[in-house]
Amino acid sequence: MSSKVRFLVVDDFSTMRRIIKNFLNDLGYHNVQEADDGLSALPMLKTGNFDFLITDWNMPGMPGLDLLKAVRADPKIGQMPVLLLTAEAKREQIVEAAAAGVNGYVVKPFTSQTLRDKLDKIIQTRLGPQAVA
Amino acid sequence: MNTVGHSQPQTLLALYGESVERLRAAMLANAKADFQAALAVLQEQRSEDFSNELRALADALHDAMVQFRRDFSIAAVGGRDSSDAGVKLQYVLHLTNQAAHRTIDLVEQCVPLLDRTVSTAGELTAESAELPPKVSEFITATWQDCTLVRGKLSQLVLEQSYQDLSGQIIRGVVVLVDQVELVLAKILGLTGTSGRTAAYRIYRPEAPALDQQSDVDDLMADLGI
Repeated sequence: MSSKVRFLVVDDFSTMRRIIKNFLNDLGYHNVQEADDGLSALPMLKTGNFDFLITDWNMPGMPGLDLLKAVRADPKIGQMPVLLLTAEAKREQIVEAAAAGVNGYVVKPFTSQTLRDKLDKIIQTRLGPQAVA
Repeated sequence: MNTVGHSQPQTLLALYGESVERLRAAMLANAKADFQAALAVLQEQRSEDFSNELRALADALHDAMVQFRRDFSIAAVGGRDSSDAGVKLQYVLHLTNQAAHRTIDLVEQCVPLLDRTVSTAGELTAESAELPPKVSEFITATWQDCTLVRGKLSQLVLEQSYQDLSGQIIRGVVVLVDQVELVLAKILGLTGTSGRTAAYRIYRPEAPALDQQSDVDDLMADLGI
């Protein structure tokens, strides 16, 4: 089933962006755009053309956590679901991300089942069951 | 190559015997000025020994890095004019990135072909009652096999995430190498040998991380997410 959810995938590694995009396509999410760090992602998000943000944490320029905070601070896009997909798995970082308002946290390397479960759960609760692919 | 311990070490007696004897004589004679002078000589000798050791260590490290540059010749890094350890690691990053993209390219070329076969086989399965049994079985098996291969190809793409993870580690090592080169340059400067300078960047050791996704999920649940 195809979904109309519009994703922005942010990661400084082009391979990882492609992997996530492929994965989303396989699940039935075909509206996926990419950015290579928070600085280039934020203006894209501010256009209001996205429903869901998937971001890495550790990136040059603007890291994922700063991007999350910037999204939450903007009344126009502040309610957007955000999934952090990162190799950073330290307790204090997860607590910090939760405090900043993250909706999901997946540690790399991840399985397709893990990512699918997290996506389904967030989309269902934040965007409604009809948005699930 | 100038490395630590190549020259024959002198005995303690040869190194310090005369100074210690002078110190002992001054002590026995209760000659304070002579005692202080002998003590100062000993301290100077000790400081000089330390400097010599430090210089030898710096030279050894410098030689090891020069040797590293020779071992990984220009040909070894794909024709790039590279004499820097950090640049070599960046090249490794480039190679793994290229290989991962090439793998995904190939998968993306195969997926539409498989999808077409799966779709056609699915349509034909619905008409299998009109087909000879062997052909019908073949179509069903084709549909099953292609569906399985399609899943494996998706898994293959996901496995390319090693490039991101190894890349992050390599970037950390590049920072570490830069720092080692900077410290080496400083030591060589202190010991009177000229060394090249490098930009100083801080390398932060990693704190212990949570092992499993399930641990992360538990923590997120505790935090109400």
